[in-house]
Amino acid sequence: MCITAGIDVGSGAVKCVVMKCPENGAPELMAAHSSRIRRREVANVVDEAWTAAVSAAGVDEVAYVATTGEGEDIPFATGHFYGMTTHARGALHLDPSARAVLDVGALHSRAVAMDEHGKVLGYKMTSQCASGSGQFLENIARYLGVSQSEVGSLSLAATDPENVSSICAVLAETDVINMVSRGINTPDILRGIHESMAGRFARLLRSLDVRGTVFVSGGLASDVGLMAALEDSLAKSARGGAVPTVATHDQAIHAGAIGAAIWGAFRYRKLGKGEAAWKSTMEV
Amino acid sequence: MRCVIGIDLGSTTTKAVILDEDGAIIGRGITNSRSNYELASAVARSEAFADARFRLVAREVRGELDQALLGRLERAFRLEQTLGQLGRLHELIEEEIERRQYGELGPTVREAVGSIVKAIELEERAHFGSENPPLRSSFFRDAVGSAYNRYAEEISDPKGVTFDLLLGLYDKCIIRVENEPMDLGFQELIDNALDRIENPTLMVDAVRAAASTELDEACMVGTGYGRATLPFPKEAIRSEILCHGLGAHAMFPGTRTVLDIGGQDTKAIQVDDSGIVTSFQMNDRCAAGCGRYLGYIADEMNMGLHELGPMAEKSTRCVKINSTCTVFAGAELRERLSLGERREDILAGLHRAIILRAMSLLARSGGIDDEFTFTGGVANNEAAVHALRDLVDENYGQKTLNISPDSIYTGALGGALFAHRLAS
Amino acid sequence: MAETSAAKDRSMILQKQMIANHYRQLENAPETGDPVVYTFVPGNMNELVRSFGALPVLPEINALQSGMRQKSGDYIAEAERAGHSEDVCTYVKCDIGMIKAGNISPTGTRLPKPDLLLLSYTGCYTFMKWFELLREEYDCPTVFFHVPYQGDGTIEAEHRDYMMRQLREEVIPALEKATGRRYDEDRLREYLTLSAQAEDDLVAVLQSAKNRPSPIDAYFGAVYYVGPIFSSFRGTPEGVEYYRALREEVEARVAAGQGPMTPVGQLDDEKYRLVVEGPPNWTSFREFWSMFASEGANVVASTYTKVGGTYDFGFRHDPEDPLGTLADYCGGCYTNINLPGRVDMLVDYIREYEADGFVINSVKSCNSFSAGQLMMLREVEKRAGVPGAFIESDLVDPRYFSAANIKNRLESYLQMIDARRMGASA
Repeated sequence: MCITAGIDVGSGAVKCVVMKCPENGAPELMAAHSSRIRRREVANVVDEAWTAAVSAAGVDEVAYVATTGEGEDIPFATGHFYGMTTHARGALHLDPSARAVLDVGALHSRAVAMDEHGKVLGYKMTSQCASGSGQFLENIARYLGVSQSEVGSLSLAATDPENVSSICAVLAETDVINMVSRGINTPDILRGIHESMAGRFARLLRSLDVRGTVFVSGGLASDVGLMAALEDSLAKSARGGAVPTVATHDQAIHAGAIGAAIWGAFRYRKLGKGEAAWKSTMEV
Repeated sequence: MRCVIGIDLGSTTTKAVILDEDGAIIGRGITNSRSNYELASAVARSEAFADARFRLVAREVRGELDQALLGRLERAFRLEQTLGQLGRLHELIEEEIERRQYGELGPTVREAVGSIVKAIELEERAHFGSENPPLRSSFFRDAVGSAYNRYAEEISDPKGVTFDLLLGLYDKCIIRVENEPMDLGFQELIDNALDRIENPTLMVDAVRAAASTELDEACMVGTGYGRATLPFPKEAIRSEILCHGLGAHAMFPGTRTVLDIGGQDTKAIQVDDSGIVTSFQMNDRCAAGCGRYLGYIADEMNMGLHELGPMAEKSTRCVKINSTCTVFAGAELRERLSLGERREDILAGLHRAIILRAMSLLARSGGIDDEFTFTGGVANNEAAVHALRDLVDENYGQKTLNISPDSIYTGALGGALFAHRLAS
Repeated sequence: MAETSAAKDRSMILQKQMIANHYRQLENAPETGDPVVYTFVPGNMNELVRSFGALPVLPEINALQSGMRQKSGDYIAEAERAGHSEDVCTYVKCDIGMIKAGNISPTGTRLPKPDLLLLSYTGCYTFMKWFELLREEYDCPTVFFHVPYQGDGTIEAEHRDYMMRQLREEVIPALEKATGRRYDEDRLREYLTLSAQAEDDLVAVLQSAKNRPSPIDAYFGAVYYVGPIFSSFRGTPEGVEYYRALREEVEARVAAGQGPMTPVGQLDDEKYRLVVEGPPNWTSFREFWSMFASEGANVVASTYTKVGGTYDFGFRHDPEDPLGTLADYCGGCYTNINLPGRVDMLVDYIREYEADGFVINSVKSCNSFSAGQLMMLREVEKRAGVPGAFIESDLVDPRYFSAANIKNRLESYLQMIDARRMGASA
C-alpha cells in the first residue's frame, strides 16, 4: 500500500489531496481540500490546505508529496510534475472516457488532449488574454451584484443573450458596463459572457482536434451556465461532425492534485521505495 | 433653502454634489456604481444630503473649540453609519448560516463570525474615536472587507471552520448590504451620534437648526456613463466631457487643459476662460491605459488597488513597459517578474505607460496649456501623478498642475453647475 | 400614407431592381459567357469595362454589403483563421472570408470567377495586395493601371499623358484579350454620354443640401445615392433613369420644405448642420445614423460621397475625349487628392453648406482616409472657425464599433456646439 499526496498551487487557490495508490488496482481518493488564496501568503495557504487534507485522511505517513502548478518551491515536496500531465491523469481518474481536459483557471485556461493512458497528445493555452478566466467572471459577478454560486443558474434563465466581445477581457468588461447602462438584464449578460468564454474554449479544443469526452476541471466546472454554453458552442463548431461530450465531476477542482498524487506513486515505485516524504511527527 | 444637484454616474463609482443658491458646494456623496444605477444615484444623493446637513450644522458653529466638537460629531455620525451596515452584515450572515445548515459545525461558525464582527466593531470604534483617523477608502466594502479577511485568516481552522467558508459567507452577504439603501435616515443617525458625544447643548441646537432647514431641490443634472438610464428629461442630461470641463474650471479657474482618467475612459479636454469645452479627445473602444488597467494589474499581483501607487513610488529604476494594452501588460508583468525585476520598478513602469497613453490623447486634443488640471480617480494615485508631472515637464516645459483632493467629484460638480444655470 | 411612401420610394425600388438584376447576370455569366472584370470603386472605369460587354464586380461593395447584412464578422473571422492578421484592412478580410465561404454575393447569388482583375491604383496601397491575393485565388490575368497621386494638388499634363498611354498600351489590350472583343471607341462614347447625364442629376441632388432644411442627409442618405454611379451602373440607361427619378424626388422635397427621411423619422427640425469626413461604419450603419438624427443633426456635405469620383467642382465625363476623361476621373477621386486639397474641400463645404461643424469618422482599416486626419481636424477648425469632432470605428469589423463610446463623443460634441452658441449669444 502506498499513500501519496498531490498539491496543486494555482493563481486563485491551493488544492491538496491524499490518495491510496495500491500496486495493483485503481487509486482511491482519501481526502481533498482546497483553499482560496485571497491575498494571503501562499505558503500559509499551502499549510492550511495540507493540514486539512492530511487530518481528514487520518494518515500519519505520506510516501510521496507531488506538486504541480506553481507549487515547485514547497519545502516538503518530493517531486514536481507539469500541469498538463497532472490534469490529464487526474481527469482520466475521475472520468475514464476523457480524452481532453479543459482547465479553467483563475487567470488562464488551457486545453490538453490525451490518449486513454493519460499521455499528453497536445496542449494549448489561452495566451495573454484573461477573458476566458475565472477571475474575469468573478469581477463581472461582483460588478453585477450577484454571488458566484448564483451565476450558473441565472445564466440558464437567459432568454435573449447579449453578444460580448471575445477578443479581450477589458473590452468584454466595457461591453458589460455598457449593457448595464442600456438596461439589459443580468441573465442575458451572464449568458453572453458564458457564450463568449465557451466560444474561446471551443476554438481552443477544436485547434487540438479533440474527439471523445472533454473533461472540464478547475473551479468553474461547477458553473452550470458555463457548461451548458460550452456544450452548445462545441455542437456549433463541430459543423455537422462529431460533437465531443462535455463531462465533469464533483472533484473536478482537484483534478490536477489527483493527477500529481497518481504520478507521484508511479515515480515512487519506479525509484524504489525510499523514506516516507512526510510523517506526522515531522515539523513542516 | 433652494439647492441643485449634479450626479455623475461613472462606471465604477457614482458621485453626487449639492450646491446652494449661490452655487457654493454644500454636500457631496459617493458610492459604488454596481449594476443598479438608479440605486447608486439614490445612495449617492442621500449621502450628499447627509453631508449637506453637516455643512449646515457647521454654519451654525464658529469657534475653534466648537470646530473640534463638530469634528467629533461628524466622526460619531460616520461610526453610526458604519456600525449600522456592520450590524446588517452580521444579520445577513446569520440568516445565511441558518439557510446553509452546517449541522454540528453551525454553532462554531456562528461563534467565529460573531468574534470577527466584534473585532471589526472595536477597530471601527478606535478608527473613528481617534482625532485624526488615517485616510482610507470611504467604501464600507473596502474598509470592512480587508478587516474581515484579516480576522478570518487569523481565526480560521483548517480542520473546522475554514477561511474559505468564512469568506464565502462574507462574499454572499456583502453584496446585499451594498444593494440595500440605508434604513436609517439622517435624523436617527445624528441623534445616536449626539448621544455618543453626550449631547452638548451647542451641537444639539445647531443640529436642530440644520435639520429644520428645508432643502428644496430646484434642479438635478445627470452625467457620466450611465446617464442615459437616469429617469431625467433630456435637457437635464449633460455629457461628462462638458461637466469635467466646467467642474475643473470651477475648482481651478485658470484651467485650460483637463485630463480625466476614469475607470473606462481617458479624456483630454481643452476649455476656454469660462470653462466651455473647445476640443476633446478620448480613448477608442479599448480601455487600455484607463483606471481599470490598474485594477487588472492589482488582480494580477494579488494586491489592493490603493497599494499600487505607494509601492511604485518606492521604485529606484523605472522599467520600460512596452505594452499599453491592459492584457498584454499583465503578461509583460509576469515576464518581468520571472526575469527578476523588482515589483516596485515594474509598477513604476506600468504607471508611466498609462500616462504615456494619456499624453498621446492630450497631444491629439491640442496639447497642454497652462493651467493643467488632472481629474478622475487615478488623480489620487501618487505614482500616476509623479509620472504625469515628469512627462509634462519633458514635453511641454513647466506647467501648473492642479489636483484637487476632491477631484473625483469634478464631473458631478460640473453637472451641478449646469443645474444651477438651468434653475436660474 | 402607403401611397406617398411608395411614390417617394421609386428611386429606391429602381436601385433594388438594378442591383438584383446585376447579381443575377453575374450568376448566369458562366452560362451566358459574359466576361467578368473585377475592379475597385475609386476611379473605376465602368464605361470602358462595359464597352467590352463585360460585367464588373466590385469587391468593396460586396464587403460593405456583407457588413450591412451582419455577415462580415464571420467572414473576417474566417480570414483571420486563414492567417490574415488583425491589422489587415477588414474589407480585404471580409472579401477573402466570403470567397472561402463559397463566394456567395450579398444577395445570395453565386459570384463568377474573374476573367481579368483590373487594378486601378488610386491612393490605396492595399488594393495591390488585395488583388495579389485574388490572383493567387483565381489564377487569372491582372492589369495594373497606375494613377499618379495628386501630390502637388493637381493632375499635371504629363500625368494625364502617362495614364492615357497606360490605357492604350496596357489596359485596353488586356481587356481585348480577356473578353475576346475589339476596343470600340464609339461604344465607349455612348456610355460616357450617359454617365455625364447621370452625373448632372447627382450633383443637383447633393447640392440640394444647401437648402434649409436640407432635403437629404448628404452622408448616411447619400451613400445610397452614390451607390449606382460609383459601382456598376455609371453610363448605363438604368443609371440615368435612377438619377432622374432621385432628382425629381429630392426637388419635390425641397418644394415641400421637407427634411430628409432618417431611421428615426423625417428630420425637419435641423438643429445641427454637419459636414462629415471619412467612410461610414457599415455593420452598425442605422444605429450610427440614428445617433445623429435623434439629436437633430443632419449631414449637409461629406467627402466619402466623392470616393469614387468628384463631380461637384465641375468634372463630367466627356465623350469628346474618351481616354483623357477617364484619366481625369481617376486622378480626381477623393483618396487621390492630397491632404491640403482635402482640407480645402472640407473648408469649402463648411462655408458653402453653412455647417455648424464637422465630424471625422476615422476608420481603423483604411489609411488612405485616416492618415493625416488629426492634422486635417486642427487645420479645418482653424480655417473654418467651427469645431470638429473625432470618432473612431471601422468599415466592416463589428468588433470595432463601440456604440457607447461613439454616442458619448457625438453627444459631447453636439453639446459643445450648444455651449458655444449660448456663450456667443450671452
